[in-house]
Amino acid sequence: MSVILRPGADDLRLIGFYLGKVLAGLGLVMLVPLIVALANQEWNAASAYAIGASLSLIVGALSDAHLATRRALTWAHGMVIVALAWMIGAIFAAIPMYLSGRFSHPLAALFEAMSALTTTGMSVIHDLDHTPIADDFYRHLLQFAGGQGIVIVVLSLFASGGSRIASLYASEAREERILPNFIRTARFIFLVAGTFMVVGTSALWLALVNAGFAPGRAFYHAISLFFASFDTGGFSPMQSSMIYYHSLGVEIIAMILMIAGTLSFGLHFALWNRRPGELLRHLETRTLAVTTSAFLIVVGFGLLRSGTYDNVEALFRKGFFTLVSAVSSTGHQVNAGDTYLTDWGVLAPAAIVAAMAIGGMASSTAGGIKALRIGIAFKALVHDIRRLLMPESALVVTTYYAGGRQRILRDETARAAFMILLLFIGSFLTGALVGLAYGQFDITQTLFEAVSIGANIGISIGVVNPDMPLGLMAVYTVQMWLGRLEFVAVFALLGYLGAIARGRVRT
Amino acid sequence: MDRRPDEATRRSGLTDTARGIGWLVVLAIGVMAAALAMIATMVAFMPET
Repeated sequence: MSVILRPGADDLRLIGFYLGKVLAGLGLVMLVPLIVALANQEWNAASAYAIGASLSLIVGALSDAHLATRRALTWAHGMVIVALAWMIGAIFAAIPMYLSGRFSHPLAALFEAMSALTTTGMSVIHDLDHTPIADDFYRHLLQFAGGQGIVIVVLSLFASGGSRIASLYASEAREERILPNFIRTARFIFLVAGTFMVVGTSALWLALVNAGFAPGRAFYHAISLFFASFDTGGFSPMQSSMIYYHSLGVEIIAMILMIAGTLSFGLHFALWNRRPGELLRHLETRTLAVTTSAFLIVVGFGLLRSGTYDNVEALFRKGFFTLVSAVSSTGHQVNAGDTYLTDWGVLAPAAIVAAMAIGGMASSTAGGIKALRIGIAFKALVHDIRRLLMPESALVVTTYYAGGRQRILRDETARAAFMILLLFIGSFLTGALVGLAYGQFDITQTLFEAVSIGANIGISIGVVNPDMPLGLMAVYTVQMWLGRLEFVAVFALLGYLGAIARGRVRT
Repeated sequence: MDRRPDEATRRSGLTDTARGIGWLVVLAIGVMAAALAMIATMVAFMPET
């Protein structure tokens, strides 16, 4: 029988030490909107960021000074640190949001911070269209910090060594190590993000200026939309999301950025290194190509049948855009929320819900169950059927292509994929049932919203709004946290708490 | 398929970057063109409701 050891004081110090580093990093992130606020003479906002940043930096400095330990980082520590970092990070990130006075309750600010960091993109802010620039910019910047992985952001800045930190990275559900050295992997991810930031923001700026924006305002919208699109977040500087722009150019650039954001970093690396063929062979690309084509047919058929749109342009700009927004887990909207209920019939919204549930690629900024798991689950099903049909003595081997080589499908891989798939479905159903319990919404609305929240998408059918019930807001916040960490780190945290309470003392 | 570790660093970073983005734009435009073709087919064949 295996015995779980009770973590000692040194373990807790180590966890606190790294959490402090993450908070210090978050404090540095808050300095950016502070500068924006000062530049725009938004004094209220500036004081909020000064308070938020100094609190985060002070806690970070205190933990750095008092919690340093020689204990080595293990896998279990990594999981616990990451699970806690995302929750405590969101709480600290919510401080300046709450101080802005635009949220009806501290929980609403926490919801917004979690939504930003997990790149979900649901918003409960009051009167977004008249929010100070610094506050709005901060929401979008958090998507970038969260999308690129806040722990990796911090550690690649602070840490000098490599291998021990890799466990933190994997706990963040980003396990693909593209380059042999971990720090170089982190730098590559920043290089990709940085390059896209320059190119994407410039392209959006041109499209916005062309649509009649003043150059300065166009820049602010362009960089916000870049963060929201490339990091598959889905916030928008305007309450009406993408509808506000009425620009095909902006929509097309956003679609390109969303597709880039949903591509795994491994595939970005392959494209960077003259191996575009990798795209065609990868199980994940193939899965997404099949599922997205199928969903497009259903969305198109559903919309045509319900007579919502009857021409190619409208179907492309409303139907296909929404599908890309769902698959990439971004959540940009080109429809008012209740349009899905009133105008879209039944088939098209159902396909959007399914697309949201699957989401994008593993090891990208996208959310959802992930195409890789769906592909593996399908391969496992085919594998079992083949084994049933073959003679008992036959050795059945199934392979798939991922991460640059052909791999053998192992039982553990299939089991892990099915387990996460089931946990996601559990999260979706729980969210939907809790929503129903409030009695204000029907099952179509609550299921749509719960999938959108649980898979970190952000397309809203209208359940999430500034005046929604607080209990539901709390459940949704936890769902976003679970979805972003793909459950495992959170369950490891619960196990760790159990070990603190009941584990055997180390002798 | 693995490249030697220093091969990636030896080449010019700018060319790699341009190539990476170039392929991605080609991919995204390809996806959009395929979607347009599918939608156009559906609109053409869908009976009037």
